[in-house]
Amino acid sequence: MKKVLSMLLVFALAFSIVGCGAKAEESSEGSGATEPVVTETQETATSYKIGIVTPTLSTSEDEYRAAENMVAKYPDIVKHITLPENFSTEIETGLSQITSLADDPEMKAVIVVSGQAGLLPALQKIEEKRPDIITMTAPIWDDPELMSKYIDVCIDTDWVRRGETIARKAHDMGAKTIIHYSFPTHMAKEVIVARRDQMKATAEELGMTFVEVTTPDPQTGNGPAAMQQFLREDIPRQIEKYGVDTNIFGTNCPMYDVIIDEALKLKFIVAEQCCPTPTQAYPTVMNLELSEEDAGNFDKINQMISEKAAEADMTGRLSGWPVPVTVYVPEYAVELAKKMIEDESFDYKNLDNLKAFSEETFGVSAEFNTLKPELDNYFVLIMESIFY
Amino acid sequence: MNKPILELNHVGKHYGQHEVLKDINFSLMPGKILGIIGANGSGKSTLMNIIFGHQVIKNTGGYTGVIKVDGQRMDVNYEGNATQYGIGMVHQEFALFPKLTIAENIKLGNENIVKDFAKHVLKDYLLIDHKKDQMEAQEKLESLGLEIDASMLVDHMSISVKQFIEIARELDRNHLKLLILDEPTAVLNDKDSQLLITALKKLVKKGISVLFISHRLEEVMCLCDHLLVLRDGETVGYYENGSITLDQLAIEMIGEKVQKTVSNRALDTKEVQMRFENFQVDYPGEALENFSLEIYKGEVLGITSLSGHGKLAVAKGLIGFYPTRGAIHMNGLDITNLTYQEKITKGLYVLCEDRKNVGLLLEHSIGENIVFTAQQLYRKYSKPHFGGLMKLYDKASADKAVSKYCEQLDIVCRSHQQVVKTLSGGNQQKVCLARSLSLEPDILFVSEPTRGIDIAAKEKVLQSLIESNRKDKMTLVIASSELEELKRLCDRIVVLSEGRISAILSPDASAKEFGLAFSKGGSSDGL
Amino acid sequence: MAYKIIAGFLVLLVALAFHLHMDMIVLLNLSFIKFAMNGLLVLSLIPMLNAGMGMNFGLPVGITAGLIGMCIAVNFKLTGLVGLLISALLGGFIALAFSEVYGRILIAVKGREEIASTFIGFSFIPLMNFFWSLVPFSNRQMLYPIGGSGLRPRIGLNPYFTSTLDQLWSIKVGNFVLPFGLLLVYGIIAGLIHYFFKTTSGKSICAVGENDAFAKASGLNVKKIKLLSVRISLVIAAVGIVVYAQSFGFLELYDAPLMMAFPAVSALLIGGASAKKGTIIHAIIGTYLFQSIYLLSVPIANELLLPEISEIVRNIITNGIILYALLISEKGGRYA
Repeated sequence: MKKVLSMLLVFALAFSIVGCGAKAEESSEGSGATEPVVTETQETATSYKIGIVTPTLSTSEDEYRAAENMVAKYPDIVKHITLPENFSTEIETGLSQITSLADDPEMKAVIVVSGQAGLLPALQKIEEKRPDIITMTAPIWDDPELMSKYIDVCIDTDWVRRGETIARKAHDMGAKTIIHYSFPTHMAKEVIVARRDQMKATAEELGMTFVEVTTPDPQTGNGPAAMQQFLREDIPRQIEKYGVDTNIFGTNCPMYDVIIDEALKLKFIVAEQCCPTPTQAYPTVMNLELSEEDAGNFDKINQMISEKAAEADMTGRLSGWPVPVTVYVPEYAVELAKKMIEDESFDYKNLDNLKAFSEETFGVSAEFNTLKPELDNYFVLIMESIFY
Repeated sequence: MNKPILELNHVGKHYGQHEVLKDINFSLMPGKILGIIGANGSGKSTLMNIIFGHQVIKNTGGYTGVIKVDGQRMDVNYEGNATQYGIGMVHQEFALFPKLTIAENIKLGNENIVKDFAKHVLKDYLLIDHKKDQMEAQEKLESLGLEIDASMLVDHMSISVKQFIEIARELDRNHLKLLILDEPTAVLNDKDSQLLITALKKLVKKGISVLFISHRLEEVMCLCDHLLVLRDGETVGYYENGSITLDQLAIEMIGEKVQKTVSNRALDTKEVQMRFENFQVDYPGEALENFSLEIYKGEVLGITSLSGHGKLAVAKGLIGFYPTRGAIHMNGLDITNLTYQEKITKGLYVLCEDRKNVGLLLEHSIGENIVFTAQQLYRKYSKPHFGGLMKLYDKASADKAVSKYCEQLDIVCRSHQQVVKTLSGGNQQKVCLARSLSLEPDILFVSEPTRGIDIAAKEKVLQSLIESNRKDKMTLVIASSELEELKRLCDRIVVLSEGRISAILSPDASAKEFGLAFSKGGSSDGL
Repeated sequence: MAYKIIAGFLVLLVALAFHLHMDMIVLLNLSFIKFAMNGLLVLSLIPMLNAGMGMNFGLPVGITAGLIGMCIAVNFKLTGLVGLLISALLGGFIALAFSEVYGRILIAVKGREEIASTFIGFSFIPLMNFFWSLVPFSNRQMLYPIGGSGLRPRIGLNPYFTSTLDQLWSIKVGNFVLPFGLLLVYGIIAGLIHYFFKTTSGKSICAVGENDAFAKASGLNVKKIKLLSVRISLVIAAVGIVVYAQSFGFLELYDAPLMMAFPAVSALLIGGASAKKGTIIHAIIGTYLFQSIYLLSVPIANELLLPEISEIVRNIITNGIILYALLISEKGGRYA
């Protein structure tokens, strides 16, 4: 039995190595074949590649699809790899996957999208090994000072300032109370705490009640199920206590399936999700039926959400960003990297340039800032809102 | 050199009320071999345990009398102590580590250490000098006449080599004066036995004395200087080799007790009910080979042997606990390849000797234990519920049956709901028996039906067995080491030696015949 | 017994909740729903436990079967009781298919079933992740909104059968709602298991679990009986996740089943089951206590403690008490 098992493992290993090898060859052959075409159609004489690293499809659809979109758009340029499913336990694998991108001599830019801490060492290593590669994060969450030092361009949502903008938006939408759901592993993160503090300060400034509730921690013990189940039980309690003019904010994405589901039942306000996007929670809760051709069409999705919100008598009580920031940022990063490689005169450190680039490439307005005045390559953005 | 190496004066031992050894006296001179002979339960093992200082002796209240080693009174507190007196013992079950090499096994606990290293580290963390160990181990093996590479793993060695390794290990202890060998040839074939005997003879020339326990009378007679015969815990005789013949020795060992058989009947018809052909059971330590036998309808057949010689293997093989070969026919059917369940439904049942591990569901009640098998196999004691959707335990009919057997077998209990593990051994055995009888088998195999139970229960169990045989015409096969009981009950007694039938005797056969049948050595001439 | 300590702790929590003016009736309502939604998953452990195969840490295998069943039902847009019933039926059949392989592996690793089942459960999840992202379902409400293929990690059940059982024949007395239909389903299945262990098959499972040498010496086919217990366990688990999902409102795929075995095993142990034997009573007591403690301890901790530390302190206290209770019961002997 043991022998058979170990043989199987060996075969699996061998197969995966051979398989990967074959794939690598194939892709390099592919690019070799298309090389002349590239040189003909594009002005740059040399072909190049942009590597993008995202979580797996099941971990986070948006980033994955964003990268896939880019692969579809620039099949000869963008190379997409995914991080291990079990990020926290297999971080070493993730690190080596990222650094291996730099082994390709044609690689000109590496973009890492993870929304987790711990991947900085990989980028640091690439910077040492291949200083010519543009490293970019969209985003990762390591120490900003270090990131600014070792990474060429860091792009992220302006998480901290959202504390203020969400509170203001909620107030404009009629909220008298803000409930902030989080748990210990999140409250150990500087950015989330800072956002909470801003949200609290703004809420008090605007005369709203700010309530903090701790949920079971999804990263310990029984996983997200316990947290979601708790929200199911707790939200009705809180709404009964504070009334329907309450905005609920949670710091963890899986919370929103329950929060929005309960919102449709109890009619409270959800001004913005932690990761504002029409594709998270809404399609599941509202059972959006997107036809095949509409998949990835955000205008269509937004329109459907508006319809469903109206059906539930929730018009004006749900809001978010028109395009998932988690799709937008990675795509933006790829476009930016491409721009930087092809147009070396482009001044990416000019914030107005970045805003203009967003509008001309995506047709969506976004406001860019630096995280701290002294970090001139760490950009944070806030997008325009959409109200359903 | 005229001081005896081992001297026993009035040594005795009680286990509770039961006296197992009585007034044993002997002395063993250096360089001599003493053979100790006795049937099962004669006290051989107890005697060895006393001399070697086995924990069990101390835990059960020690022994009486005096043992002197080299003229010095021995005070054995724990097992390791005996080795300090220069006593080594090779047990019947090997105490070897299969995943270590021969040399490592031999030198275990007695390793050479790297000298330079010794100054710098704690005693328990010294480096072992493997080269020297290897060399010394090799020497010891060669002194026994065994040519084998000591760096090989013990796991791959044959049983006979393992035996030599055990002996070599004892030899390796410093100042070994006395070597105790418990049935050393039981697992060896003729050739290897001969080799061992030669090696032992060489050994005693170095002044080491040997206590040799064996059931093979020929060997004992060929090897030993003196012979001590034990029976029922008493010394029956102490002989200079040559002063007694093999036949006399056999009689001494079994004893000339005349036993009244229950009935000395001749079976009316010798209708064969079950037939074994070259039946073989690979039961480690109790293997059975070339077992060909016809069992007649309605008879009571005894199977006996010394322990480890195969009497328990027949039953275990029938259940399918161990791989078997050969053919079995029952009631004219070939049942060789049937599952045990099918065998049961064809009228066979086997009651194993291992009550606690095989015979009972200790956590269940008396009632459940009795009806379990009949309920499972014949759907007895259950009735349909929910319009036949489910068949549930029918307490009423089960209770009736349980009451019947409790009464018939005198099972002493508070209620039928009493959990079996709280019962005494005798009552547990009766519960097992009740279950067997409730199946109403045509032929019942019982192993050691009276082991570990008190006399009253013993009589009840035997009586019930006989009753079922006489009244219900149930053929009965009893495997037991209690020869007296078999003589009382059986029509025929099969004696096994080394896994083969050595004789089929009538219960009236003489002690000499039994003694010789038990001790028939060699594996070449089975029948 | 473990459950006495846990019950004591629960009484303390109830007293605290009362003191904090929490709505006791709502809590009671929730405790019933929580009990029944998790109850079947706990029950599903019993047949394998009694067959001597230890706690079924491979619960995700059975759960996955149920999830596939539900996915098929949702794919064909079956709603209400019909949807539930079809989900449970399909899930049950898929569980039977899984158990053929799963059971055989566990039988082969005799003596190390628990560790083997843990590993099978864990390695089954990535395999199924593959399946979920590739399986060609056509109901677009189930598919990823951007890519348009592959199942969403969570599928909303609102249009299908959310709370169908919770509301079935529910009895309202003032604010108090007794989810009668849900409890009835739980009761029927628990009753069936209870009766099953009184049948000859059930008894043979217990005998194999207690002493498989005895079972063999009684002519039983030990492997067949073990396989039967695995089949029953997995089918109940599959039905259990259907009941769970209708209560929860979402169909949770991908990594969601990964850790689900652990609360179920904890609940059964708290209820007083030993490492070799568990009864329906153990499951009922254990599930209710374990789930109610979860239900109460989080809001109470939020009320009483600083938000930053409430969850940590709560975890230490609840898990500490569970561990303490198990230690005490272990001390009292395996059969105490």
